[in-house]
Amino acid sequence: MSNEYILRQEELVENPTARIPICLVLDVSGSMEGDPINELQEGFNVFMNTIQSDEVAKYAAEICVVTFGGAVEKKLDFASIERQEIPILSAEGLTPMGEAVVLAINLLDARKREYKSAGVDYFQPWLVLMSDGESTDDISLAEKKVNELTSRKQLTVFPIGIGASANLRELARLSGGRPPLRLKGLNFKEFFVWLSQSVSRVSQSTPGEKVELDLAGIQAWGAI
Amino acid sequence: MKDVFMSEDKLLVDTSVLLQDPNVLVRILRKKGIPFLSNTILQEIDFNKKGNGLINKNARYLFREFTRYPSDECQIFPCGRAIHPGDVLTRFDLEGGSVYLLARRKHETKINNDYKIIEMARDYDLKLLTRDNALCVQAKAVGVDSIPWTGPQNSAKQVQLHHKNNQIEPFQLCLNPIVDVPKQLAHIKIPSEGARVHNQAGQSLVLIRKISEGGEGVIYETDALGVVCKVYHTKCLTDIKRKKIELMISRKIHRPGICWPLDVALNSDGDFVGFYMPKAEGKPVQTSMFVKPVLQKNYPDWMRIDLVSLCLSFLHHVEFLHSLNILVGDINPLNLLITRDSSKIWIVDTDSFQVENFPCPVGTINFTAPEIQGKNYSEFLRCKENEEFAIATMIFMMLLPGKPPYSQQGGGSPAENIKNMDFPYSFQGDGGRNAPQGPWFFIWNNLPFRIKEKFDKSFRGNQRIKITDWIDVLEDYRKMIQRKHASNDIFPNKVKVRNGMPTVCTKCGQTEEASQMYLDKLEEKQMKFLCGSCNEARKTRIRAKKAEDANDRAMRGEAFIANEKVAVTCDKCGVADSTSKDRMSELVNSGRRYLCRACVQKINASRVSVTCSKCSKAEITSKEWIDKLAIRGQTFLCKCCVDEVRKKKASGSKTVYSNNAQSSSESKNIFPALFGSFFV
Repeated sequence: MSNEYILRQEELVENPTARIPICLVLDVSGSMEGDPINELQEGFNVFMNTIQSDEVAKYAAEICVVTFGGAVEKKLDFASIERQEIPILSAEGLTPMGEAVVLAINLLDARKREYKSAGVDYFQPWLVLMSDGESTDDISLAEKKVNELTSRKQLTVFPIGIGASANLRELARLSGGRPPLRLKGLNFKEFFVWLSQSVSRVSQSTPGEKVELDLAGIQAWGAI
Repeated sequence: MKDVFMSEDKLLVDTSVLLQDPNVLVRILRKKGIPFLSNTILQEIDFNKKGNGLINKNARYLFREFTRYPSDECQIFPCGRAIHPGDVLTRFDLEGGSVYLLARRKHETKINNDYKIIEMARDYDLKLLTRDNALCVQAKAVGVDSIPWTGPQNSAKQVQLHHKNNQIEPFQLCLNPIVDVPKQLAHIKIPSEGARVHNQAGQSLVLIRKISEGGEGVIYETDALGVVCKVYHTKCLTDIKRKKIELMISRKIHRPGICWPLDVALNSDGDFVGFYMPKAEGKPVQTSMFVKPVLQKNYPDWMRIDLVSLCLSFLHHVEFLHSLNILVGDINPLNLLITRDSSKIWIVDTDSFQVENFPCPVGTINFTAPEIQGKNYSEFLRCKENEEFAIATMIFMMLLPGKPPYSQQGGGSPAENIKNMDFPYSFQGDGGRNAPQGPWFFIWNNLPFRIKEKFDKSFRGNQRIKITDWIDVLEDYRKMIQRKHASNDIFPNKVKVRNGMPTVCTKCGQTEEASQMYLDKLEEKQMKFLCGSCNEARKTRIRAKKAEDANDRAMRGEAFIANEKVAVTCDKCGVADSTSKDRMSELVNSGRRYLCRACVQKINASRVSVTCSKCSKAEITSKEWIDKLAIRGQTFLCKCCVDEVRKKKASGSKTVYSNNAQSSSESKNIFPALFGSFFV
């Protein structure tokens, strides 16, 4: 067994803050090549740094990254944010979105189990799904799992389409009823700033409390 | 008597010291210090001249002394620094030395004399010598050093100071909340950085810099010393808010540590926009001590006794507020500020307090009593009993830094756990199955009995503990730590053992005390003794292995089937039953037996209180055990007496368990037959 898992368990039990597990499921297929992938990378860096500098959120938010571009990869595993190294994203290959969402759900589920067995409070997980096209694999299993979880209020999906060729109808199938938003241009940074602010808001609450997200703030980056 | 000041110190001597001990000036001079007074201090002495008390005599004496010798106006401050324009510095002769009087006509601050005195100390870089604790705290909050005076307390009579309002009329107790739909005040100019605000009397101040921003408004530093101003967002400016603040400022509450509104803040049109309050010091409890590494970084020299002291300072504040019929309402770790000095705590966000029929409109789940869970905070008035639940929760989270009392294995929603009184820590045979992993068990285990009892009553028994009772048990706790009867470690790493046997850890070889009962239990289960740290490491490894397996399954695309059940047999009555796979692996990993619900209930129900036949102490035990003893013809002994007897028996032959280092994950599984197929 790797020491990483032991360290992770120690971090888990020593920090009593209620956790917000978040899995970013990012499209890094060939069509993201160039500006889109660079802007995505920069936006993601901003996200990690903003949370790191928030004294409450940094002990509450737990980030994991799954990318899909050719293969599905776990680019970043759950750990305390202080120790996490920001992965470098590069674009290539097809768009196996279905497989990526299933992996994300399984990883979030495994993490939830760790919270339960350690006795750490947690919020229901978030899944942020970003894609600029449409899937090249079967998404029906992913759709089924998302619907199961969202109907039990055990998952929140934030579906984001990038650019004109993003298939919003398909994203809608993977979001459990939440309407997908289309990113304005390449406003990744604005989106990630909004996302980190949403994490901050939630981190100042208690699991079970209703938190209003900043809907007005969405206009800076998204359109329906 | 020993004076606390050093030679060469420039000291501003506060009224409270001068009136108790006028000779302090001469002693400062002899020690080559330079004593200063200010016009505010002189006024206060003047105010105390009439009367026959010692203080009054001292006041008259001081005035005589100051007028007996010639005085002269100085152009230069001692040590060459410039005198502020408009100020006057006068030098008096006293016993061959010089005492200086600083006079200022127009003080920056208009709030009270305390601030005027602090302002002078700040502007001339003087240390403040005072016996007024409140003044010390307020001075520190604005960066002025003060020296608490430790001289003779020769008079019971309190020094009468202008600005001290000792008698505050308590607020009315109300039954029904204000239910009006809050009417938003329309078209109001919200002042921002650089703008000027004023109070009813027309005294104005400038908003210098934004200190913090919340959902309700912005807090600004102002040009008035030690005073900050909260300006509400437009959407929060309601007539109810204004009336509430007006009611609050009708009582002049100057208690260091409570940011009570001092005055309303009006914009240039004269509209209500917020209020003034004293500047607080420190960082929120939530962000400065509720995560272990952060606590260790911020307050490296803190010990458990500091946590106790923090609880006590918090309780004294709330006790004071309750005496005036004020409820905090939204007790939470973001509204409490602390510094390295654990005897001080600040309560901020006071405009949310519940006063009279103005409810506290906010709250958080963890601090909300079961009877008011899920209710809309702005629609009812809380009672002291509701608040007592929040107080117990705050004390718990301070003593187990950051851990909410109902946080437990298996999760569950915090609100549900509170409503079900599902408290996971063990006390006298109740609970303990779902206690969270990590340092929390050790902390709980090391708490004194009376503290655990109060938590058990609060969180399992749904009873409420009075503030005075908490103060009582926490004062005792402090004494126990001082006398080394309780651990002073914030995060102890072993269990507390009474009459323990020194036992060698089979893994690291360190000797640690263990109770005979625990050792017997291990022997019965054929498990080896591990010291606290090694046992923790073992549990961590088990969880890490499980996490790794789960992760591997996730990567292979195999989902965990939620709540998968496995068939089991009750270890007591043999009945076939089923339980979750998770629960079962927990039990196996911790070497515990599976008992069906009926058996657990039976055991709980059959617990009786018995008197020890040796020391006659009452203890709770199972009826089964009593019956067993009766069959054997033995009488009941309490745990202590049993330990003692065993110790006597074992004395001389120290129990040393096998020193074979053996990985705990290989430790013998006692139920392979039942769920062998479960092991991977």
